Amino acid sequence: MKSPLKLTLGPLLYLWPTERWRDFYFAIADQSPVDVVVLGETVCSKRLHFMEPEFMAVVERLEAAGKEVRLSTLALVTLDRESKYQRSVAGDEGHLVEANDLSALQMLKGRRHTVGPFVNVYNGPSAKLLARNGAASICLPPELPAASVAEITRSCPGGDFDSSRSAAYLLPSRRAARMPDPRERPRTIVSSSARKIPTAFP
Amino acid sequence: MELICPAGTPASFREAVDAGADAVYCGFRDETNARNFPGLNFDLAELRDAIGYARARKVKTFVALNTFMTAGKEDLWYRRAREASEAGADALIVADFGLMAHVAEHHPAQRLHISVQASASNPEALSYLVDCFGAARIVLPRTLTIQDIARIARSVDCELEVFVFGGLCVMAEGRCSLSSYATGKSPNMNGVCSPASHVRYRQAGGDLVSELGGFTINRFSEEEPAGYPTLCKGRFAVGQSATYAFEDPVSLDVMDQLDELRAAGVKALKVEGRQRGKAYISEVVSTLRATLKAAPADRPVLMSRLRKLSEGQQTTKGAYEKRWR
Repeated sequence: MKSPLKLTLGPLLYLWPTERWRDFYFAIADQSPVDVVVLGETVCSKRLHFMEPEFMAVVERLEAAGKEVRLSTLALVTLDRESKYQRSVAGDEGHLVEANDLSALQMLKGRRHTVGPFVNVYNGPSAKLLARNGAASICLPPELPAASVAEITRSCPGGDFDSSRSAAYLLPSRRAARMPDPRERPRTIVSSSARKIPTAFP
Repeated sequence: MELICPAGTPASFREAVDAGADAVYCGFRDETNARNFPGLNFDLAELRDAIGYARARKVKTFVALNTFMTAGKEDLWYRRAREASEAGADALIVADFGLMAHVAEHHPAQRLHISVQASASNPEALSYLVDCFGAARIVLPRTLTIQDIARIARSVDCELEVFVFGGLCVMAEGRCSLSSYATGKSPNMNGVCSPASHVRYRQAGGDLVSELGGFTINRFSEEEPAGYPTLCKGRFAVGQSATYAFEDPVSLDVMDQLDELRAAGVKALKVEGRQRGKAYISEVVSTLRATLKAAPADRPVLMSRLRKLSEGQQTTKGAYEKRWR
């Protein structure tokens, strides 16, 4: 029997002041219908101090509201201190950890965990491999066509893992090791001759 | 350190071998590799000939199978892996986990290299790939400093290959959907980025405007050389100015850091450029070979010959020397 569709809120990818970050999650706890909240820093290790002061308060508020809290790992890890941070998140015994980088997959091997959209899973064989590694749930990449999503779930019947996919396209479209000023948002001019922008999924 | 050179066509392949490559990397004419552009790449017969040509001159051939397998169409990648292996490829360069597992299981004697597209950027990531798939060599993403590379080399049991010259992908390779967003075609799925099929140039007064998928990417005045509208290398309105918000459209050149790279434990130096013509390949490979042989004091003069061949006629050290941490 298919399990009912759940709503998962992915980790916040923006750089917000501590209070705004906290209040956002308090509102999610108090008012939103999401079932699962993935919490943590995925983008940049230099942002960790923004969420640290309120992190436990947010976890408690979400769990008190009946939300399942999962912890996210960094998506791009290059420094020693980032590897150490990754290890500390992966070591959490009380929450499911979402792997967004290969280092997290290594640290979580053999333990039940989830896989985030920043690990590339484009087909059934890759999904099955991660399931054998311990993945209980995989969030598929946002550019994956619907046909691929169908094929992956068809080739990996329930019992292997749950697959989820990003429904709202409020995602960064690229990862870079260098950020332009995150407060500035580059804009492009859509040409006057622009036609409908083709997307990878229907 | 080995010099690993690109070949988009059989003619470029022979140029690369003759100009002094230690290994040449190439791909099949389909979406199994990340340079799936019209007019490029090899069919099986051409690949066999190329491998034979290289082998006779003691040069290796690596076959890139570095896109992510399309769900339901994995047989195409599996077939190409078998064909490349049977043709005598010295290594397969792979990014997809499912394909890595397939090669490890069905072609256990086949040397496996991990593509930059797999985004393995730290010791634990590399260990994962070595432990799970027996990876012999990993191409590092262009997001690491030389210090980062040295840290990795101390901790892992596989060879390291780094890009030293050519086009620069400024994002974490293998994890960028910009092209997908603008055109519906992606490096990971289709082996293309900012494909020509979605490019348009138009005049706007005295300026030339370049577009990709209906987005304006850049605008050039009459005096400026016009560039190709690779999406991340466009000029965008940020605050009050129009600027290269993501990256300047320049190429990578870290050939002045050869001693540092060697000291860091790098085994192989990779040149980007499978979409380049054979004249470019010949000039770049022979100059890099000469530079590798030259004394440090003589290298800058050699490398200055290549400046005009770089994108924007300028170069960058990319993340190799980044000061921010």
